[in-house]
Order: sequence, then structure tokens, then C-alpha cells
Amino acid sequence: MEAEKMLDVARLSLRDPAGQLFDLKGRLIRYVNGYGVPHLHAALNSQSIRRLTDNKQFISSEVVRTSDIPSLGRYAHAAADVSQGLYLEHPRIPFVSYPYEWAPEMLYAAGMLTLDLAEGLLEEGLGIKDATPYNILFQGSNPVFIDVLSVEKREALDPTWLAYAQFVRTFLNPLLVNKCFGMPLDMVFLTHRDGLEPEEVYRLSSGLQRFSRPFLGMVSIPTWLGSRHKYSPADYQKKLVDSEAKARFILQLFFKQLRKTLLWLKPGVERRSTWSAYMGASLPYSDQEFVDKDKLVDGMLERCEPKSLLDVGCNTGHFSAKAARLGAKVVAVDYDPVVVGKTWERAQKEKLEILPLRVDLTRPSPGIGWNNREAKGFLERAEGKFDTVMMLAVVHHMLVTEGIPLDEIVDMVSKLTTANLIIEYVHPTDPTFKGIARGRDHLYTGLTARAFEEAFGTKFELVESRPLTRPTRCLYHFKKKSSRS
Amino acid sequence: MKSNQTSLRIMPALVIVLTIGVFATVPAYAYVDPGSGQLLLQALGVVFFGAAFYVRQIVAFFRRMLRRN
Repeated sequence: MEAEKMLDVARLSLRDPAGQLFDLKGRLIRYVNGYGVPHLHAALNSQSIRRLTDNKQFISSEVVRTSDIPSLGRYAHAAADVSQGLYLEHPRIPFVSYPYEWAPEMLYAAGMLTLDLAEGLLEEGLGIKDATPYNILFQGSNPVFIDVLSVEKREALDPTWLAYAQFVRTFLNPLLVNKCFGMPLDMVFLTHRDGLEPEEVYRLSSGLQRFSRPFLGMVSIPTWLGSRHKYSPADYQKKLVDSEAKARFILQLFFKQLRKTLLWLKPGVERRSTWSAYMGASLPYSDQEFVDKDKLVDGMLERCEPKSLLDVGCNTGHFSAKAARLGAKVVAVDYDPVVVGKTWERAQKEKLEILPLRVDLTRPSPGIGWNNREAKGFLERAEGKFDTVMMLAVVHHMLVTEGIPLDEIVDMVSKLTTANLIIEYVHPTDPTFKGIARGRDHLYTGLTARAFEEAFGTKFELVESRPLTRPTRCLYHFKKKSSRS
Repeated sequence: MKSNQTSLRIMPALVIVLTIGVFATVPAYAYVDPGSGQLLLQALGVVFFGAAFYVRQIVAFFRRMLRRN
């Protein structure tokens, strides 16, 4: 890792046989080898890809001259056939996220984009060779297809889509277990990078479910067929049909079926959780108290002028939306996938630059994949990425429910923000605090406003503190010490 | 009484469904080819949709004939 830092080069993708992606001194450079070049040219000339690129649904690419590329250092061998290959440069997506951090609504949107792309390419004699959510990142709340090398020239007489099973494993089955068994996406993707096999979902399903839609076609029949089938290399030989029109017609019907199933799996708007009613019936403020808090947060946000903001414990995105309306690129995190989904819907509806993620800051997503580096952990991606961190009515949950000491929270937040911290203090006598302390109030008697200020004072300077109308709560604006000089 | 009658009516169907569910799957103890079930399903789909392709052509042919007449 040290050698990588010295050379300022990091390999960001390594599984594709047609090329690899590098972070070269902050530039996103993709090397495409001789095998991938003809497919890439076909992709770059495709009308449907141009249309998607114009709509910001497909990453833009610019061919870069080899002479403009600095050395790939220890990865130079990866671009050994440079005379036949070429380099591409892509713009950066502001914040990288992974399927285990998405709400089901986001996986659904990513699945739809994958099908749109596959169907659009069909008419042009092209296809996509893989169908995984890792091909997609979110710019704000909008999915963007980032893997240019997924696009390939299709065998015109081939009526099958090799990525069909992968699409079922990585989009449909995770959405199915989420919808029918309430299994969160992080439980699926943190341990099953390539989704769920039909056999795994089959074991979870009941006898009657196995015969009902969409289990029967998506889970049960493939399980029955697979378990009785003896592997033969002939299975994977292309089964060509006699005309291009027929192959296209069959593929169109496959895509139509997949789209119908995906539509069936669309997360319902009525989904509820412990936290989904927080901003409504469960709000721990009176109407006037909340209006007053709203005004104070507005004022602090305006004074901070955030360009990039991390909202920790965003709930349904009420305050994230305020920051986004002021022009900030917001990453909004909450541990409840239902409220993350509602924040995503709000961002979509109001066209706000908010990326909602299911992240529990007390148990942030770890680095996973090859060498634990293929998908970096949340903290590694987030550190120093935000000029403002906002933590409203959340610290007492970290302290009490999760048992994280205050100095640890101060330390972590100081790494996440480069400048501002807007944070709400909740006194141990507050009814909500007492509710989550469950009779252990005596453990937190020392958590006074003064102690809170002193703890944050080790890394931050106090800019302003504004008591909320509710007497047990106070809003603070801190500035990171190193950011002022 | 009424619910007992309903249960008796449902019971045979339930037994059939459960029997099929239990015996239709053969546990795989050795190497399982991932995705092979989906591949076979797709192969079946090719046959089925391929037939639909010809049906569509036949229907289109008769429609053209009818329009001409």
C-alpha cells in the first residue's frame, strides 16, 4: 500500500479481462487491452449509449493519448500490450457507494437502468456481458452505469443473454428476499458479492411460496432444473437460432419478462419501520419546537455555506434537503433502510443532489473483496470528503444505545469533516434520552452541556451555540481547529 | 363447523403441494454448477419464445391476407 501511495497510483478494478481502472494522481484512467478495443469502439459509437450519456445515465469517456499517461508504476504489466490497447479517462462520481449501502429503491432503479441499457443496445447488435449492481454508481440520487467495458458486440444469432442468471442473482433475488422476508440488502451483499443463487432463496421459501409468483419461475424451477442437471461443457456452447430477427425477438421477450418481475419487486411506498414515522407522529418536538429548530438549522447551514455535507442520522432527509437546496452535494446516512429509501424518493421527486445510504456510523461498512480493498470501507471513502458534517438528534443514540464513548465520536467526526460540524446536544434528562437509557440514567449524569462542549473542544472551536425551545436540547456549530489559520 | 369443512377441502391440495415441494428437489452434495438452473430455464425460454416467434409470423401473414381481401 505504501508503494502505491508513493507512486500515486491505485488499481480500482481488476476482474475484467478486457481492461482495468486506475486512479492515477487523482485521474480516473481506464486501460483497455487489445481484446476490449473493438467492443469499446462499438460502445462509444452506439446511439443508445450516447443518449444515456447525454442523460447522465452512462459515464462519459474520453480517449487519452498514451503519451499523456504517466507511468502505471507497479501495474505497468497490466498495460503491456499498449500498442493494441488504449486509455480512457472518466469523470469522477463525487461519492462511491455499493449495493450493501443502498435502499431497495436504489437497487430497483439500478436494475431498471441495466435493463434499459441491455434493451437499447439490442437493436444495435450490442449487449452487456455482465449484469451486476457493481456496474452502477449513484450521482446524487441518480444511477449512472460506469462500466464501459461491459458493453460488447453480440453474436447476432444468439438468443440467450449470458448475464441473465447474474441479473437474477444480483438484482431480482436480493429484492425478492427483501420484499418477502424483510432481509436487508447489506445482509445479502456484504457476504454474497454476487447475490443469491436460486437455491439459497429456495431454502428460505415456504412450500406454497415455491409455487407462487415470482418464486416459481425465478427460484423454484431453476433450483429443480439445476439440482437434477449434471454439468456438461456443452451447456455453455452457444445455441444459435436461424435468423437475427428471431434471436432479437427472443431476447426482447426475456427482457420483458425480467422487467415485469422487477416491477413486481418494486419496493412499496407504504413500507414502515421504527424510524419511518419519526418526522410525523413520533416526532419528539411540539410543532412550535420543531419550527424553531428548523429556523436555527437553516441559519447555521446558511452561515456554513456547505459544498459537501454528510448528514448522519438523516431519517427521511428533511434537513438533508435543506442543505441540498443551498447547493451542497449531500451524502445522507441512516441505519434504517426504510428511511433511506424515503430520502431517496424525496431526492428523486425534488431533484436534489442527495445520495442516501444505509450506513450505521457505529458499524460502518468494512472494506471487502480482494485484499479487503476492492470496495473500500465507508470511513476510508468518507474521511476528508465533507466540508460540513451534520448530526441532529443522533449523538445520544451513539452514546447510549451503542455505548460509544464521546471522545471516540469526537475523534471520528473530526476526521470526516474538513471544516464545520453542526450538532445537536441532548441532555440526559430529556424524555427521549431517558427512554433509550432504560433506567440507566445514572450512567450519563456527567454528560452536561459543558462536558459536551469540552469534549468537542479538543478538536473543534465553538462558533455558536443556540438553545432549542425544548430546554433539554441545544444546537452547536463547531469549526475544526486545523481548518482555521 | 364451516372452517372444519374448508380445512378438509384444502387438505388434499396442501398434501399434494407439500409432497411435490419436498420430493422435487434433490439435495446436491458435490460440486454444483452455479447458474446452471437459470441457463436451462433460458434454454427452455428460447424454445418457447422461438415458437412464439413463428406464431407471430403466421398471425402477421394471415392479417396481411385479410387486409388484401
